[in-house]
This record gives sequence, structure tokens and C-alpha cells, in this order.
Amino acid sequence: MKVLVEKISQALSLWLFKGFLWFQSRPSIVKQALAGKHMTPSSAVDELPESGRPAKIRVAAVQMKLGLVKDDHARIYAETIYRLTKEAVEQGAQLVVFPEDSGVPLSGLIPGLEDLASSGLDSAVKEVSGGETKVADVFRLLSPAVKRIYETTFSTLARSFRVYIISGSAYLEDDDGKMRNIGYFFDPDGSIIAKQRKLHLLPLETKWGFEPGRELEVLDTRLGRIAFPICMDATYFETFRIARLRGADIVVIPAANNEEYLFWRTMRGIWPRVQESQVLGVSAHAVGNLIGIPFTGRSGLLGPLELTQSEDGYFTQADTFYEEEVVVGDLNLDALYQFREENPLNFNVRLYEKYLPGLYEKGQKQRTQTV
Amino acid sequence: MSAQALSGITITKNGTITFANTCSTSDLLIEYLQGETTEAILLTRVACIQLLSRRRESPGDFLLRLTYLAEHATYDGAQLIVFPAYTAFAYLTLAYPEAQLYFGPGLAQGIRRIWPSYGASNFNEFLDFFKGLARKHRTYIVPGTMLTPTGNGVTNTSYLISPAGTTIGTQQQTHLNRDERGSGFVNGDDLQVFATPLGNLGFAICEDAWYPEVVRILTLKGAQIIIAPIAVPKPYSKWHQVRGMWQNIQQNQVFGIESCLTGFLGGVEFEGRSTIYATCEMTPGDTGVLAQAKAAHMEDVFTAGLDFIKLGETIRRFDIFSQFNVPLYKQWFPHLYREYPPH
Repeated sequence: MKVLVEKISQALSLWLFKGFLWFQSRPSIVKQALAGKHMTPSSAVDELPESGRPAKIRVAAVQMKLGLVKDDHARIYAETIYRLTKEAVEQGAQLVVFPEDSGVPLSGLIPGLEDLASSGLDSAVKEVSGGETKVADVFRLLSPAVKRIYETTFSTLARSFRVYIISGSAYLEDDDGKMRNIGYFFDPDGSIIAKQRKLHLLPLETKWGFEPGRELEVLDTRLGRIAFPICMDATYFETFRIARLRGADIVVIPAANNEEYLFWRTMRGIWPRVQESQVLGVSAHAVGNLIGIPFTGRSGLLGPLELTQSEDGYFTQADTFYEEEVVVGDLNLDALYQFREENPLNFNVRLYEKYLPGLYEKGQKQRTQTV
Repeated sequence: MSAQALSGITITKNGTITFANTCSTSDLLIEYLQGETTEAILLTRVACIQLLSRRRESPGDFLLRLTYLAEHATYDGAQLIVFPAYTAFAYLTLAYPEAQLYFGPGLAQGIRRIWPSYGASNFNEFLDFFKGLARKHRTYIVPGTMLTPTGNGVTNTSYLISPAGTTIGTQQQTHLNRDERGSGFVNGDDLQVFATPLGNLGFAICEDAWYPEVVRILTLKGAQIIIAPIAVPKPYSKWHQVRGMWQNIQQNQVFGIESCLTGFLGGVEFEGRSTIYATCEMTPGDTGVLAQAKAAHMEDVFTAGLDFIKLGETIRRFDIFSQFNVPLYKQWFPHLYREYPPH
């Protein structure tokens, strides 16, 4: 940390730098940026029943191109999110979903980050800090500023457009001081109705010093009963099983896959999870290139094979895995309930009672020891 | 990898091939990595039989066909041969057509009715036949599944036969769909993992392949190869297959052998495309498929090598199990299952 501080202090002391971040993240910047925009409140949410689940809902999955915001951070970021939200709302979306890492472009608040990170974020941090700082500590420094811009932007847009928004996620300091990958759910009043911490991390995130969350949120909303875990959480059937068993009908996955697009590898996430737990799914992918890291993925709306027209599990999907797109479609909850009634899951509770959850730690250790 | 679980074939510099049944692959791997041996460790070779069930065929011809299929597999070097679900039931229906055994209400009762007189002896005959094949070819054989009486119904049970021609163990299907329940099937309540020199084997039978809990439990118990004797009514759906065994293999980082029944049996027409699976990272074109039947409606035999060294490398690059959120699972399992369906 010392070396990093020294580096920053050369231009501005750490104290001043924090002050700079605070100044750059003033909510008034976001509000001013959005004040002149055309934001007609949508009436789409008003069509949803006040109580009970709707027959169907219209959802937009935003395939957002990530890139560092280098100047005028709060204004440019707010305008980007505005443009994408507007496109979704104009197509009648009642819920707009952004991808994982949607807050990471704000890392551009660190001057010269792109140059520093040309050899990889991990090694850049090591280089400037002498190895004492983890990547998570850099995000910790940014956290108050990112949080202000991020929350103000999404809250303002949700309220102004009168639409539900799942923000994707940002690396933020959590209430307990741990650094986590956190997603937000905003209601059409602009209030935060829940935060979801990523539950299963990439090994890289663990190495960088981030912590997994402990709770899976399942929310009753006018859209239906929704869970919104993050990216890697969809690699584990347990996430969706818990969500379904707690009554979720829709599971939303904001994702950011930092690898080359390979069709079959992309099939290891939300697609099988939707099938095995009989829920409707939304995946919103990050694309583009962020500090040398490529992101790929095809956003889409998913459901059990039997409910999709081409019987491939997709209601609709982005045309590309690399371009910015807003994918809009309907999720039919009535059809889902009928499908579940005709194809009930028959669990073997006696079998699970013997092994779950007791076997997880044993199996985990056994594999670590033998591979 | 388990220290005593694996073996395969080794090939020396001068081309001599030896079966390493007395020496585990893990031991060889350690020696190989330490430079103490120059032997290349090859593969555990497994065979998948896609059986075409016919409405009319003499029991003798049926067994002859099975013999041919097994021999075909052993010519390709198979050390483990897997037949599809209901292979034994197919033999029973051919041997006793007058019993009129059809899937649906009355099936379990029908099997129970004929069991004392000729069902049991027919089944023993069938098992003895496979034990003979296993001995002859010195291979492990899974002769698909058999419907055997239990309580008021029948269980769909698979058998693992050793190269010595003995039954190592059995596994009952643990999850049933509505049609199977309607036919009087009763599910088993446990999952076994069998340690063999080829690797640790576990079974996911028919509907079990579509419940991720099954392969997760098997893998947590140490299974490295999942054997899936399958029979799915037509029409064949590639995506239905992907949401079954394919995804189980990916999310548990193990090998899978899915052997499908095709053709007519018990009043139902079956289709399926048998497949030998590995993780995407280990397969050509990243497909997760090592080998696959040519079509979903015809008989086929094919083999593939299971490379445990590559599997180890894949897991070391990213061990899915290392990121389990055990506190989360402890909070909700197993009581949530008891409360299903949610209110």
C-alpha cells in the first residue's frame, strides 16, 4: 500500500485523492447530466397486478459494452446507462437488467489506470504497491465514489422511467468492511429493494481479495418472485435449486465472461440451471474490452425447452456475442406454471438427507487432496 | 485422483503394451512427473453400446447380437462396456412374449406375476450370459438395467460385473418421472460408488440424469466416471440430452458414459444418441463430447479413451468444487426439499 500511496502522493496526496474522488462523484453531477434528458415515465409497470403474480412480464437484457470511463466520469457513465435504459423502456420493458461488472467502467476514476494495467491488473497493483496491496484494496479506495455514482445513476433512472432495474454489479466495500461483487435491485420509485452479493467467486476474484456473499435473495415483486444471483453462481445447480425451492419463478443472471466466446462453454451457466429447476431466466452479458480483458457473451431470455418455440431453451437471444445490444422479450409465467404442473419435480428427499449438505466439505477436501 | 483407483494401459519405448491393472494410474503419474519412468500413460478405454430393441427377435438371436456388440467393443480395446437401460427387460419380453409386458399401469404387476415362474430364472440366465462375456473378454460390463420386483412395485436396477465374472454391485434408479411411477416403479434411496482399477464408478439411471443432485452426490463421494444407462421415448431431442448428462459432466468435472436404448420395447418407441463425455476443455471443438453414436435411431458401438491426466489438469486449472458456498448450502439443505412445493 505504501508504494501505491507514494505514487499517488506524487501528484496528489492520498487524502487529496480521496477528496478528488468524492468531488468527482457528487450526485449533483449525475442529476444534472440526466436532468436535460427526455425521460417519460413508462406506464408498463402499471399494467402489472398490485398483488399476485402477473401472467407475463416484459424484460430487457442489456448487453453492455464495458470500457473505462476516462474523463468526466459521473456524467459520461450516467449518460451511457440512460441511453441503454431508454432503449429498453421504449420497447415496453418492465424490468431492465444490466450485466455483472456494470460498475467497473468507473474504475477510470484512477488516473492512468489503463496504462498501469496494460500488463494485467494484478501485476500493475503489485508493481505500484510493492506487493502489499491486493486488487480488492484498489477497489476499496474507489468504493465510496463508485457507490455514489452507481446508486444515484440507477436510482434516478428507475424513478424517472418508472421501471424495475437490476443494475448488474460493482466491486464495493460491503457493510461489514469486506470487499464484494454486489448487485442492486431498484424498484420504479428508485428505491433499493435488495442487494445481492455474488455467492460463488472466480478463483481470480478470491486471489484479488474479494469475499463471497452468504445470502441468496428471493424477492416478491409485482413482476413475480425473483432471484438475481451473479454470473458464476449459475455454474452451481445449488443456487437455482435454492431459489426455486424458495419459490422463485424468475432467476436473473448478470454475467461478465472474460474469455473467448466458445458456444459449449457458454452452455455451462444459466441454460442448464433454468432447465433443471424449471424457472424462467434472464442473462445480461458484458461485452467489449476493459483494461485489456475481453468480455463476450450472448444475452437472452430463457425457459424450459418445452416452452420455447424452437425447443432450444431460448425465447430470444442477442444477435452477437461482442456488440452492444438491448434484448427485449416476454416471460410467460402462466405458461411456466402450467408446465410445472404437467412436469412436476419428484425429489428424493431421503437420499438428500443422507448426503446434503454434509458431503460438500468432505468431497471438496478429497478432491483437493487427490488432484 | 484416488491412489488406488485408476489404471490403464502403458506403452514402453519399444512399443510393448501392458495392462496396468496392478498399478494405479496415480502411481504411474507420480513416477512420470518425477521422471522415474518414461512410459506414457494412456487411457482407460470405455465402450458405449447403443442397442436397437426389436419387437420380434428370438432370444437366441438377441443374445448373439449382444455378443457381437460386446466383441466389437473389445476389439477396440474397451475395458468397460456399458449397455443401455432395459436391456434385460428386452430379453425378458422376447423370451416370454405371452406375458404381454408393456410400460404403463400393470407393468409392475405383470413382472411380479411372472417372476416366480420364469422371470427370475430368465434374469439369472441373462446375468450369467454377461458374466460369461466379462470373463471371456476380461472386461467390466454394465448390462444395462433390469426391472425386478420389490414391495408392491419394481425397481430399475443396474449391475456392475467384473472381468472375473462376478457382480461387484448394483444400483437402483433413485428418481422417477410420472410415467415410471405410473408403471409401478419404486425408487432406491442410496447411491453407491464402486472403486475399480479403471476409476471410481457411479450410476445415474434414466431420470436420475436429469436431477443434478445425483451426479453431485456421486462426485462428492469420489466418483470419476458416471455410467448412465438411459431409455428416453422418441422423439429424440439434442437439447434434452444436453440438460441431462452433458451438463452433469461439466458441472462436476468427471467422465460420463451415456448408453441409450433405441427401437421398440414394451409398447414404447425409444430414441437416443449415446455419448461418452468429458469436460469441454478436454474435447475436440470444445463440445464436451469424446465420442458419440452416429444417429439417434440405430444400433451403434463406439469407444473412447478417458485421459485422467488431462482431467487432473482441467481441475487444477479451475476446480469447481473449490468455490462451493458451503455455508449457503447448510442454511437451506436438506430442509427446503422437505418443504417442496413452496407455498
